[in-house]
Amino acid sequence: MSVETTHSRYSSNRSAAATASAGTRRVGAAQAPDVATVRLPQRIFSVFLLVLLGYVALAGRLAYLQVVQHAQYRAVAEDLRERTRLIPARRGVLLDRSGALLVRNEQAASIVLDPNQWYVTTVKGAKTAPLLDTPEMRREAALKGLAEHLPGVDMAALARKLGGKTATGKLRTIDVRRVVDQATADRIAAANLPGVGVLPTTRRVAMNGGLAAHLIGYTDIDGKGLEGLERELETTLRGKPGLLEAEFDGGRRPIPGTIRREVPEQPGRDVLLTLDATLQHDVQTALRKAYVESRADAATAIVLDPKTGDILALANYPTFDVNKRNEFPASFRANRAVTSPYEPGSTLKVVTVAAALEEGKVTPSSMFFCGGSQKIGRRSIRCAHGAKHGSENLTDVIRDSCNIASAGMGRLLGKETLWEYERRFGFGERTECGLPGESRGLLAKPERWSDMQLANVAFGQGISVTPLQLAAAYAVVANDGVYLRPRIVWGTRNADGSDLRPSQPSEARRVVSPEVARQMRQMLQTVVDSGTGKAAAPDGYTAGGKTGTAQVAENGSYRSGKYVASFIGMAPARDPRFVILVSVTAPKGSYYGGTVAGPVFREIVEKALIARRTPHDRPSSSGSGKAKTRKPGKLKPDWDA
Amino acid sequence: MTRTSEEQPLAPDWWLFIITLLLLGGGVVMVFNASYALAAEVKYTGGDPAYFVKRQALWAVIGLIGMFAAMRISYWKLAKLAVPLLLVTIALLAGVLVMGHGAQGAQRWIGYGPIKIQPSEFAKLAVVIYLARVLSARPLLVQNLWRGVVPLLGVVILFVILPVELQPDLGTAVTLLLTVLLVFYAAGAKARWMIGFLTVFALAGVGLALRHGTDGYRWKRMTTFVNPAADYNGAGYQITHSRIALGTGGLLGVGFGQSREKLKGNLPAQRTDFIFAIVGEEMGLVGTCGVLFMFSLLAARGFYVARRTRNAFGALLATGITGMISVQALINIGVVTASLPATGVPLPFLSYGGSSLVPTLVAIGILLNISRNPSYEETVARGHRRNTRRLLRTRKPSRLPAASAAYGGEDIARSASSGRRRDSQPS
Repeated sequence: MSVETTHSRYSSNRSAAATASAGTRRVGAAQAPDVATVRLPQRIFSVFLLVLLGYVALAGRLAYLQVVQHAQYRAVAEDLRERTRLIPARRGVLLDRSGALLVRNEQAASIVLDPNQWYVTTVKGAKTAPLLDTPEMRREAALKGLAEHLPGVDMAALARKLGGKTATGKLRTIDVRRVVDQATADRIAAANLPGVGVLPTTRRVAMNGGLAAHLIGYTDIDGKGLEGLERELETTLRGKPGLLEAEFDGGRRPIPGTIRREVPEQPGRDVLLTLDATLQHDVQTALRKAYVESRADAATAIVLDPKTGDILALANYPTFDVNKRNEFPASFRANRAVTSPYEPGSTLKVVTVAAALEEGKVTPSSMFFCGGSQKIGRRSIRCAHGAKHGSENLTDVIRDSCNIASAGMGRLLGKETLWEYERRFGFGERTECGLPGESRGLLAKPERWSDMQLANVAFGQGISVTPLQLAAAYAVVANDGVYLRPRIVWGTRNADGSDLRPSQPSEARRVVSPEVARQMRQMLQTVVDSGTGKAAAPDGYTAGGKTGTAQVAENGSYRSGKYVASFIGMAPARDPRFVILVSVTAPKGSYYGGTVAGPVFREIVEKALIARRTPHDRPSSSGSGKAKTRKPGKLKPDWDA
Repeated sequence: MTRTSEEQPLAPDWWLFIITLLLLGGGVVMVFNASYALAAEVKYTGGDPAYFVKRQALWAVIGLIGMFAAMRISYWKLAKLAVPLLLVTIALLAGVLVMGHGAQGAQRWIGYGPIKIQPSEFAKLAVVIYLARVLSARPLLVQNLWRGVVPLLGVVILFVILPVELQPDLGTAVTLLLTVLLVFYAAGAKARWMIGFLTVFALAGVGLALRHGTDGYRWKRMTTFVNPAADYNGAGYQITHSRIALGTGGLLGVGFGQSREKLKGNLPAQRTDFIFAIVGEEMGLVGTCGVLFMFSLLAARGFYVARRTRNAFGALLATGITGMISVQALINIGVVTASLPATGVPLPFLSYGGSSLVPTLVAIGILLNISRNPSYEETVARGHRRNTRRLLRTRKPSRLPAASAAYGGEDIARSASSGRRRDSQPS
């Protein structure tokens, strides 16, 4: 008879024998010595020790994780929680002198892809489309959707970038496209692609990409100015980004109570330009016509207000569209009006004559003789086209653009004095008008001038100037002998229009007396009335100006057949309100300044004068002037042009 | 000084009761602490920060009711219910496999409408009761490997652990397996057999995990705790964030309520399986070791109750219950500290979820009842009816030494396999 139990102590019956039986266990053991008898309490204690051992081991593990590796994990956590975030500031906009918007910030979006999202298990029961069950499917759906909505994106390159990991193994979020327009962003957001984020941003858009492109310039994708005024005015426009120093949760929002420092962003200031958008448009229209018709290499036009130095309009051809700049060759983006000096030729004779008058070396009634050529040293100078002007007065010299007489006046002045006047008219130094990339031109020191160079400089060779320098020099004549720096920035103001601060007026510098300036204007008027500049004469207004037909110097010698045809004038002649420079580089066919650039001047100046409601100062050929024949609407800027 | 079943039971073990209440109270507080930020944000809570803690408190109340009820039911009555309970559990597990509702791909629930139960949680208790019953009634079984331990283990594995594993609920399956081995060992099985089984199962697990190669889901889960960064978006995600939470906690923690990892988008199971990481982040090593100390106390008290119980069924049941809770805590904390491969095991008392909390509290109730009856005689509880009847009938003290102390000179194998026949023979 046997009862099945090992545990003597437990298999008790109500008898002391049960306890006694513990001692007799070995009786059974003797009969089956291969089986050990085990005491349950001992085993239970062993189990307890085993469990306790586990807890002690875990405590050791915890001590290692929480004390030894504490610093390491805190660093990882801080890295994950991104302590500082920049809040972008609104970039200031550009406006013309009457407040018309030239460049604005358009609401746009950037598209990012967070591959980690593919692996996030959706909330219980909320299963999305069955096609998105696995990370692979989500990945495929995201890439396919992006390829569909953003045709330009290089999907292969994108897929390569997707593998990047941080130290914790988290996959890096990648930029799919930094800036897309709002419509595309809305479509992508509506498509609800897994892991694809649409973040708000802005992009810089010119109201009319073709208008004053060289002036405005453009920014990079982050809104940092790269060219033109966007670059030059960067510090004003940029503003100051705000700062948020806090811990951020998984959803990238600051955790309440962790914000350490919060600096609000300072929006950039708006900039009002001296530019007149309407006039700029007219200038571009007129210049483009000449540029296209003469099949020129390049063309430039500048309109200055001589009383203030304001650049009212400035255009170059070839030009580009700010909003589609990548579609144009890089060379089209050069602002030739300030970056490309050239030999001005005859137009510079004005400086020589004004200097001679101011210095009392000549009077308006002085007489000169031109024999067609003159020997200086071993070489000789000539008047253009073999002309012999013979006996001539000062007005004739300007009107007929006599090289021999100009060289003679240069000799009368001497190297030092002529150089001094060139400098005072603004040559050989930057105008500091506020446009980037300005050249100072080339004006050698007088000590290094040969006699030949003295003669050359006197009629505009052996010196190079930028179109803007030249226009500013003519503005001296127009402004009664006072030089003003040209300027492009009229003033700045806050984004809300407050705190308007006009820019500092430039220092006025007297160059010649008002009387000399007046005499010069009279002489320049004869050029338009009866000289080489007849084609530039505006209808109903007097105007003065000077033509120039300069050979293009390349590699130290003049290239035959390549000229810069230019005309610089002012109107009305008595009290000029505008100084306008037009230069056309390498026109095909006629290359005279009067015939190529003159008509452009005329077209621009007529529109400018009428737009400013300037009264006629001489009879108009069509009764009360062309103003009446124009449709009033055309005075408004034609943004679509 | 033995007492009979007719005598008045003692007061329950106060230590056990207080430790349980402390863990439970701390757990409810921690569930609120870990979940309010998330609850305020996700849609299905309706923005109620107390969404989770309300439910957890409700479960705690239900669990406490279950605990008090279990505390009042004489535990030896469970011996009679052992086999039916197991059969019901097996049926429920089969039901889950056939028609269970999926939660995150796993088939663990069964039920209708708001009433859902997770049979695998009850399976743990049912298996412990069943083993305590069988091993106390037939103590010789654990002495024999091939005729005792292997068949019994085979039944448990085949009908309970395997269905649980197939749900798939690897965590509960592993908890079950380790608890079963602990109970076997406590009942007298040889330690080297248990180690052998452990090795075999570990190898089988590795083999199964490698079925789909080293790229398979199971293998990644199994190995990722070594280098979670390698699979950050997969199995490594929770481990990475859990280690960050524990690591940032340091010695004293970042302060109660100041956890960052509990916020949405960081540690996703912050209120359930990984609540221990939040404890570690907020209260540092002091907090985590405090929790470990509480679980150690619970184990100490539970095994103490087991040890002093003079009834094999009660002792094995108490061992099984304490072992079950301890194994679960060990696995959970092992996973959270990246010491073990990731398995989804909730931390008893602390993790959010009623399906874990209620059975745990009921188990504690049973344990408390055992503590009330340390000296209960197993005349009834032995449950081997004919044998019992015979013992009651004869009442001859002279027979008892042989009956209680020795298992006689018979071949043990025979005794185990043909005990019934032998019992029926008149002696």
